[in-house]
Amino acid sequence: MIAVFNRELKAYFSSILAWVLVAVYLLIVGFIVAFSIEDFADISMAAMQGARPASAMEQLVPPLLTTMGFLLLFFLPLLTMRLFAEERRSGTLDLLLTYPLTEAQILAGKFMAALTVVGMMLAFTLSGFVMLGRLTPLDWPVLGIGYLGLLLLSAAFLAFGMWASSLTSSQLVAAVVTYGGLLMLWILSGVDRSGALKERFGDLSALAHLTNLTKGVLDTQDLVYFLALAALFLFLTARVLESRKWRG
Amino acid sequence: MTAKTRFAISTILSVLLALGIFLVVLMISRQNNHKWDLTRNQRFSLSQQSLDVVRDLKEPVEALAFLAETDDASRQAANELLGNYKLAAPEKFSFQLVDPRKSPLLARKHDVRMPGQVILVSGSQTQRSTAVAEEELTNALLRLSDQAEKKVYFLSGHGERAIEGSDPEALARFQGGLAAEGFKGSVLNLLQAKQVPSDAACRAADPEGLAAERRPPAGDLGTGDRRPS
Amino acid sequence: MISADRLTKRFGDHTVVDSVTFEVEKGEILGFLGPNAAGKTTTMKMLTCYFPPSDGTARIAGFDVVAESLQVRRMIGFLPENVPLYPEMTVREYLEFAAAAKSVPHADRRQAVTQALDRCNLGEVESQLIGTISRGFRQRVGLGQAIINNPPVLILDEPTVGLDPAQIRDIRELIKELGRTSTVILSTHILPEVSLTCNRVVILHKGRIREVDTPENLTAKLQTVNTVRLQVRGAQEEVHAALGQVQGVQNVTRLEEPGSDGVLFRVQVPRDLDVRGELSRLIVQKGWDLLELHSEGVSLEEIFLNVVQREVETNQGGEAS
Repeated sequence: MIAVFNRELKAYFSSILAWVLVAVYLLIVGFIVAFSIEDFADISMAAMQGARPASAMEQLVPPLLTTMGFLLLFFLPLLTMRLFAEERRSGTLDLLLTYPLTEAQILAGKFMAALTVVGMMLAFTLSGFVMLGRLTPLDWPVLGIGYLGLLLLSAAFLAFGMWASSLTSSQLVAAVVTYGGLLMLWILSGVDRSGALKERFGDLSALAHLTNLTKGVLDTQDLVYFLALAALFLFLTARVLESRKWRG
Repeated sequence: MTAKTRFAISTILSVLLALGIFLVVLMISRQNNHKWDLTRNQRFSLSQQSLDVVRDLKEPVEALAFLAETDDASRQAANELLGNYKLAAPEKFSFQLVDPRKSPLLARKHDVRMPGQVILVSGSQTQRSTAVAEEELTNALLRLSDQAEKKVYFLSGHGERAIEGSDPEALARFQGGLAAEGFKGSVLNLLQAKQVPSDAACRAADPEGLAAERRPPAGDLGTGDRRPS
Repeated sequence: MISADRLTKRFGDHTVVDSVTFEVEKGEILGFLGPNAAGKTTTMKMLTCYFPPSDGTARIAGFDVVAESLQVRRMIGFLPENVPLYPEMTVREYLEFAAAAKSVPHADRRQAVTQALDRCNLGEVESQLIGTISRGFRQRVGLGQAIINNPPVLILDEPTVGLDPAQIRDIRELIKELGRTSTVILSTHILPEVSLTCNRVVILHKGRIREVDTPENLTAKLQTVNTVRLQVRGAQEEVHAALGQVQGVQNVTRLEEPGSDGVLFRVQVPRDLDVRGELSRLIVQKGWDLLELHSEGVSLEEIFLNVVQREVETNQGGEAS
């Protein structure tokens, strides 16, 4: 599995796409952080005259983290689209399947490579918060939980994207399917008018669970949601790989 | 049935099974979830006292939070706060958000003139909390769970400090604190009354004045003697 | 080492491989010969655990390809027809990846890569991106990944297609060398390949085995004609006609080979007839210059066409009756 992991990681960084994606994401997040801080500065000035002082940890940080998560929705599909689709198209997947590797090892290697790229990307965004920390005291454990949320969200989204990539030999199709699926996951709670589903299963939307984590409350429900989602799509991907053999 | 069909069926079944397991896992985690509030001032959790109060409820309580439908921030905060109460005691506590403009009759019934109040209903009894905040809510719950006002009798007749007045020695603040917790204080002269009234939740004794009282009076003292510090 | 028992593969209603049975001994080089869509690639894919058979079984080194697929895959090296590689990697990087993915122990990897680079003559492109190297080198890289784990069994699908004669010769030598240490199955529709490298040949047509034997035996069994090649200086039409008159000659074909002196002919006679003497005497008699005369080895092509033709005839006979 490590062999696949290494190969995939090298492949990411030898293609210009990964570099561009990371750079653009960081650029956008950078801008948003800067604007948010400015906005917040105004709010906190105004709040000084009122009863309750504005708190960065309450009003600035959670929406910022949530926005970063939302942005991931646009970038992750571009990372995952090539994971399997390209190998299918070029025939290298056929060869790979004759190697002494289980399907699990193959998809684990690819998944970890994608997650590593995203992890690095998120790590770079920390610099924005470090700077913020010099302007106003930050509750670091809470921020840590927020980043954990983003990482788990990434894991779930990447798993979905990888599954979509395994279904087709066209990177474009994979990307489109992933966009659609992730958007749905993001807002799923809107469907549930009566709240009955919510009662049983908890909120099904990724947005809700991420928001909880950005506030600094570590609820196992949220952790389980993302982990279970990731596990589900990893499993489905394994099934897809297996089924290829039978279709010939 | 060819191997291929068999495989197709087993794949479909395993996919459905996986989805099912996913939902079951979500369900289980919802029932057995653990929360850790890592915010510096524990903003999102209830205090131990609040948790105790809601768990000790003897009768189910429904909370009606009167908030304007457009006030998203307050509604979200209310959902969280009331949700925490409910999480602590799901069979005993439930809540609803009501827009007073949309349900004017209900608002009038509970004499709600401005939004931001919470009415606690338990059976035929109600209590009002003036704000959607933990302290007020828990106090209201306390008051509700023991609608019979708890009376605290301040012993007098032995030179105890008076419970009224601005004399710094007076126990006025002590009584005020008790009042906030739902206790109604009044003066009791044991020598005159000869026994502790039956509706006393407890009695407050000023140690300095107890010298003359050797024999404890008849009557149960109930829970919790409180001593002024 | 390799055994297939009634191996069958169906895609929907179409049977691509039909009850194929054969055995390959350790150290043998077996050739699969057949036209396109004969089922060569599909059979190989079943042997390499790419997909399972619809019917029948196959074992490699004693392991069943379906039930013990992981063990089988450790023992094989496979070169697919289209040589799929990763264009963004260098040759060395790719071979390192292949070594790791094929469970070559960590300590041995470096040596395995060096050896593979060596044996496949990839030294000069070692650090080049796979996307930039020529077709011939690509083929050798593909071969490199197949042998990198020193597998006891090598399965090569059309290893020389698209290469120029020099490259073909190189690969052929390599395969023969590999055949000394491994068991090899290779498939081709280029006929000279087979006779030059393989110990035995399996002729496949429409998913079924037609013949299995050594090239020599097949030749002896199926050869029906002999051919003689002549290079004559003389008037073309006259020579052509004269040759046709010689007793026993079945067919005279004029060959086009630009830049050659005189005219080239191929004369076809029944197998047991040796007309070389008569032909040479005839030419000299007529006063033409005889530049060259020799008997051509029977081509497997002929055998092959023979086999296929028989199949067609059998079918036709069947239909007619």
